[in-house]
Amino acid sequence: MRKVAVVGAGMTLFRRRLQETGKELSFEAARMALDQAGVEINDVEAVIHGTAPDAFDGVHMKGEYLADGSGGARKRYMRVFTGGGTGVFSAIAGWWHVASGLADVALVVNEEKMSSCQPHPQSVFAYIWDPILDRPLKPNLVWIFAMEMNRYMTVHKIPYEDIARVAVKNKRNAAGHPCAQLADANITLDDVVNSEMMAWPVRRLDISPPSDGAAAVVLASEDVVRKRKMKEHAAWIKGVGWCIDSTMWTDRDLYFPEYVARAAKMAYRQAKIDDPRKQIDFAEPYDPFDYKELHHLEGLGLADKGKAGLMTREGVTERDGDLPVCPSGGLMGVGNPIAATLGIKIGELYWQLTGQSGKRQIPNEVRTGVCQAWGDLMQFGSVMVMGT
Amino acid sequence: MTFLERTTDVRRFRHWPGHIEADYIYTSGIAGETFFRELRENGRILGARCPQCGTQWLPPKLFCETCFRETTDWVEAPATGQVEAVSVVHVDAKGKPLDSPEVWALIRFAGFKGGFVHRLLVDPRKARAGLRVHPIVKPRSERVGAITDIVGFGP
Amino acid sequence: MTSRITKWPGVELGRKEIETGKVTSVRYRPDAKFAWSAGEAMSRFLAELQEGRMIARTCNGCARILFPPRMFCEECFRPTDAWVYVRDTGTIETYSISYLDTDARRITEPILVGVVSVDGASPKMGVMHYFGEMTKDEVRIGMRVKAKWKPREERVGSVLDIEYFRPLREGEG
Repeated sequence: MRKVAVVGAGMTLFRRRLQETGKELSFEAARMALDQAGVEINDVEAVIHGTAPDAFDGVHMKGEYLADGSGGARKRYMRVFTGGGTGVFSAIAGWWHVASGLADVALVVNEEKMSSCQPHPQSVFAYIWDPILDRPLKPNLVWIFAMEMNRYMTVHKIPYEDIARVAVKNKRNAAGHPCAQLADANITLDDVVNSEMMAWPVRRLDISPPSDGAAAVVLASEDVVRKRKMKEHAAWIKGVGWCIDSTMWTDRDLYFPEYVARAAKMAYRQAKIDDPRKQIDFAEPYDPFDYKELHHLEGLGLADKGKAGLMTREGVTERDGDLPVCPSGGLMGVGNPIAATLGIKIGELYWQLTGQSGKRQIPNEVRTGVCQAWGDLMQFGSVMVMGT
Repeated sequence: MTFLERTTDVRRFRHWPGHIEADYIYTSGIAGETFFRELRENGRILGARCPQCGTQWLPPKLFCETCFRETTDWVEAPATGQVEAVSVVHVDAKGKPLDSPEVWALIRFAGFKGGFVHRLLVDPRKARAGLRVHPIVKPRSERVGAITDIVGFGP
Repeated sequence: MTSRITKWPGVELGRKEIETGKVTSVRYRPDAKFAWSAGEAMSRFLAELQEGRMIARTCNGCARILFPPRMFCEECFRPTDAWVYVRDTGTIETYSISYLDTDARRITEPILVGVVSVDGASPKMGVMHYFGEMTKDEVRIGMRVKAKWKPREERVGSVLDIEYFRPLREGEG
């Protein structure tokens, strides 16, 4: 398989409500990525679009609808969708195209326009529940996160403060991100601990917001990077992995994301990483809730089971720490436009590895990073390892 | 029940009824905002032109589909367009018969890529491709900035 | 980010701008109705609930007792083998105390909800349900519970034929 690099990235602001249509958001992010990569639309041989449920934007066959805005008109095009896992999974699908030799240059564009859904995207999000077993109980989606967080805290006896600290770290980190929706340089642990109780143990400031936004990356093969002298702004994809568990979430012990661990194992093997804690310099795990950053760090093998909270407490995961985690500010700080989180996972790895993160640049040298996304009904994990 | 025994009505067997309730607000977008504003305020139809390849798009888009660049110029559509294809419709969206048939058409404008699918305000027996038509727009007080500000196209 | 970029695309809108018509928009309400076929396993499951019983399926491949029942084992990827009844008692695996209802509206009396692993099925095989006859300070992981069934005439073949799970009492189960 050929070596593949990310050679450019772009994203729009993440906000609760943007005026642009989904097509326009896709165009803005894709155009920026192409400009940053120094590549034209005619150089692009395949376009991969990632976007979450049609029901958010309210357009059936949303992938097809967004094709022209993504530069996919009259091109080899596919839409992928794995719920929240799409932010990393679409880049993996892009990698398939280039690594296999099907395309020398591929464009990956992810978009989300959740604000179309009234009164709140939760209205359609709720249809993920099984119609016969779950929906008659009139559940709220926050319940399932609350149940997972409770299980994680109880099994490992993790105090709530250790989890709330992640929200503080990420919202502060996001102050350095120009697109951030929920940055707060001055947020304190007390703010989080005293925020409104939603469904115990989840409080308001533990949750990332719904957002509109789009992001894009350009992928190129080794040959293209060499011929077009792109090495200066290239970050290499070293390993990819993905895994799904069943929707029978009530049959699983939620304290550990087994499917993330399997996806990570696949990616690490390809990247020749056998000691992730030593060989990975920084990480962008998926953090739609603060406890999820810890949950996923353990799934990624970057912390022992039950111990990720200690790392936050000890400052290990700060930008200037030994293992910076979510230097972008994560979903907690920048926003959660589901698939468009590509920009703060893959995008952030790219910008950090090529020294382009500006105010967010990790002070220590970083050579290898891992990013991860997570989706569906507590089921899906996608992982990518990138390096210089 | 095997593959050999079929039913077309799932409600004959144990099922769980429900509905998916959703409600949407679609913003017109950046290009759409200009288009609908012009339609509402002045009853004019605008297209957008790509500065790189010169293609003119109707309805206007923020980006040229071919060059993938921002379209920057606004151009007014000609006063008349031409019917490319027609359909005479006898049932409504739910399949119920209409009181009287409706004529729908794809209308193109010279020099522009794209066009409009809209009502063709002619007798169904006279509806055909090739007709030259112009937009019939609601009075200003009734226009809100939506595609329905155009009542239809007539000869 | 790349210091070359000074303007990040995206025009933010507030809710008022749409409501007051400051920007144009279109409203649409799809009306999708469904009749979800219960299928083989769920049909039997619901019928048994109406009779006040909980039923599972066995898989001889992995020797698990699968609850809720399913016609295929997702581990062995083969059809499951036989019906078997399980108990209506179990253990709380996890729970939440929710101050939000299904429409994300705030409620003052919290809903107690969680996952119960059911006795007689393989470990951890469970269902989500409400908890009742306990306060939010009493609910805990590991609590032993029993289903409170609705009276026979009120049962329709639904998971709601069980009103909630309540603490197991002395001498029960």
